[in-house]
Amino acid sequence: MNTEQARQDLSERGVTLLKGAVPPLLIDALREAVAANRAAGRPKSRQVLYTHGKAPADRPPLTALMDQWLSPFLYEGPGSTRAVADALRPQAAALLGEPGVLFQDLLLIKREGHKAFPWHQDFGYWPVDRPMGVVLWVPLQPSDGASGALRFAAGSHRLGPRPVVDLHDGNPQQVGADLAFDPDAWPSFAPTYEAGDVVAFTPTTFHASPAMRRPGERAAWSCIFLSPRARWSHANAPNHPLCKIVADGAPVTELPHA
Amino acid sequence: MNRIQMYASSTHLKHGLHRAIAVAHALTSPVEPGESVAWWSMLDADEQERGRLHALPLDALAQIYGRDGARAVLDAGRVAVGLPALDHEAVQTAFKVAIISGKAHRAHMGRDVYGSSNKGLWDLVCGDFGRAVADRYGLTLGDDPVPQHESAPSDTALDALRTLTAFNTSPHGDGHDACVEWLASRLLALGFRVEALGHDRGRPLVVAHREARGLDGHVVMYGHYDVTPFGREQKWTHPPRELTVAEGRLFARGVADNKGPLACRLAALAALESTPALTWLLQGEEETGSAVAHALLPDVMRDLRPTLWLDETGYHDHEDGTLRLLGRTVGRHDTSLPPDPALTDLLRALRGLASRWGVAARHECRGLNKNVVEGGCPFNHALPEDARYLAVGVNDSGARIHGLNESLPGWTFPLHTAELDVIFRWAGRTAGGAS
Repeated sequence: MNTEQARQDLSERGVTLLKGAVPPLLIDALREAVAANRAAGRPKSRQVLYTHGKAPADRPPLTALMDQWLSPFLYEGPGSTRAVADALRPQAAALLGEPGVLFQDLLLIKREGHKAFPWHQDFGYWPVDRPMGVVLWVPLQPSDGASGALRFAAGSHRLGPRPVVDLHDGNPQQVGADLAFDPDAWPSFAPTYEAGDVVAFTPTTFHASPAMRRPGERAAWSCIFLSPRARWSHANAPNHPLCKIVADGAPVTELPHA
Repeated sequence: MNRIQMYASSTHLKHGLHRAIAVAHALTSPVEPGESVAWWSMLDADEQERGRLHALPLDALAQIYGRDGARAVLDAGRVAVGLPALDHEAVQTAFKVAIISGKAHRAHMGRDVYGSSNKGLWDLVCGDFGRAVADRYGLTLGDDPVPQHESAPSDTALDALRTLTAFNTSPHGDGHDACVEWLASRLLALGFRVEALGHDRGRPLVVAHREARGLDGHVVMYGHYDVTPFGREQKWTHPPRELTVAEGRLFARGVADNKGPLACRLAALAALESTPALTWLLQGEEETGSAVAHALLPDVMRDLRPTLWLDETGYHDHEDGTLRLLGRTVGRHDTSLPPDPALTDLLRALRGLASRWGVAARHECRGLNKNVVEGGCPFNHALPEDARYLAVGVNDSGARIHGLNESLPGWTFPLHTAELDVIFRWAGRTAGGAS
């Protein structure tokens, strides 16, 4: 698929698949980052992000859903994903139509028994004022529904921003909020991925990840580039850790190394 | 297919000529995921809308029947049901006679000539084909077109839905037990043997079974009687706790998920005389984690070997009504494999049926997306490998499940009743081993 087609796909369906877009060398680098962070015992994210309130007491940690290192591009040395993120800047810029601001990235491990991620949009978890950006999700092994690979409700980005959900049960975090999202109202896009494929989607495209039902584990990496026209907005995700760091209302900028 | 079988008037002739080519197209076009299939797409652009509505005049139909593409479709359809190809020269001659006789009738009131000439065309195109299709799929597949604005739920279905939506089966509601009691009474009246399991664990799982009535095979249906919370009731356009019928749609909490499909199927079973053996699994915790169903359904389903597993509902595109046919063979780890030849045959018949309502059909090789929620759908997760799975039903993509103003289209109810008839007859034929 050429860039223009991919952009059009992203605009019309909110998601596009770029087959083999990440070369094997970079996939190897990401696998090495996983191994390095595991060997170094780097702390994983412990809790689902409740951007609009406190986590209910009965909720298990995020590790019931997956293992996650948050923003490893900020790490120094082994385990850092910055080089790979930098290598993907041109592709992100081509999809956005402008140079993107690297906002955050995630190394994601799903092991056998890890539960499903319900349908959600990503935008509501970000302290950003507008859903202008692109998420790139890259499997590090062949992945399908049985191994919890992402699936999408194609075209659902046209709903615009909807309430942010509790990733443990799929219900809105804000009491009484109307999610009004029916995954079967949209065509399903659930590719079978090879290592090195990139699925790119907008911040408001609903997506989900089934439970991991294969033995062993599978890894993926995702990174988010924002439009430079976006601004930090604490109100959009008041509990996001970045709200303690970034100035509300300021244009989004890249963060320095940790 | 009584109209293709039985000639009665010039209107029936025109309907029959439309239905013959529509059914032939449906039964012979490839079943591949993704692409919408509509028989009228084979027509010229200026003919398509009238074709969709079964409203082409006889002279236009004569032209279409004279084209190579249409002839190939008609012949392939006949071969698919075990008939020889048409004598197309004879068909064209019959068209000419019918058209000339029609003009004579209008000019001179020539009754006899007109009637016998139409009958000749009818016999050539519709007679044996209609009978063969009816023998194979039942009468409903080739029957007259149904204008969508005239298609509405039966009083029986509306009464059932009105009752069901009045039970408060939201997570903290008090209507679950009464709803189960009412469902059990309805199912008993329909001849089902009914058990309610798991009272001690949560909201009961209703397991209902009925022996076959005139057809071989076994169909297992799934559904649920609980609903999501009512939300901000003051923001609903129509009250969420009672059924409202407005502008062709049915409004209430849970009407689309899943009480409308449930009511439609209850009413259909009351109307359909012949069915295969039926098992109906109805749970009450779909919206709250399905604990009872997760615990019990694997055991309940383990020994079942039905001809078909039928999910709680299915979808239409709300923009143009296109029917989504979610059909698959279940693979390892609940993956979706292409439908087998028998299920492919059913998908073809169902898209032919959809054309009666003037809607296209699109196959998607997957289950309902509800499967991807915390814990997943207990029905889908307990499906055995190699299961034949189908999701088809009354919902559309404008239903706003779980949201404000949840609603269903009314026109899909008669279609789904007809779908069940086709499904049941297909199950009978498939299980009976007929070709």
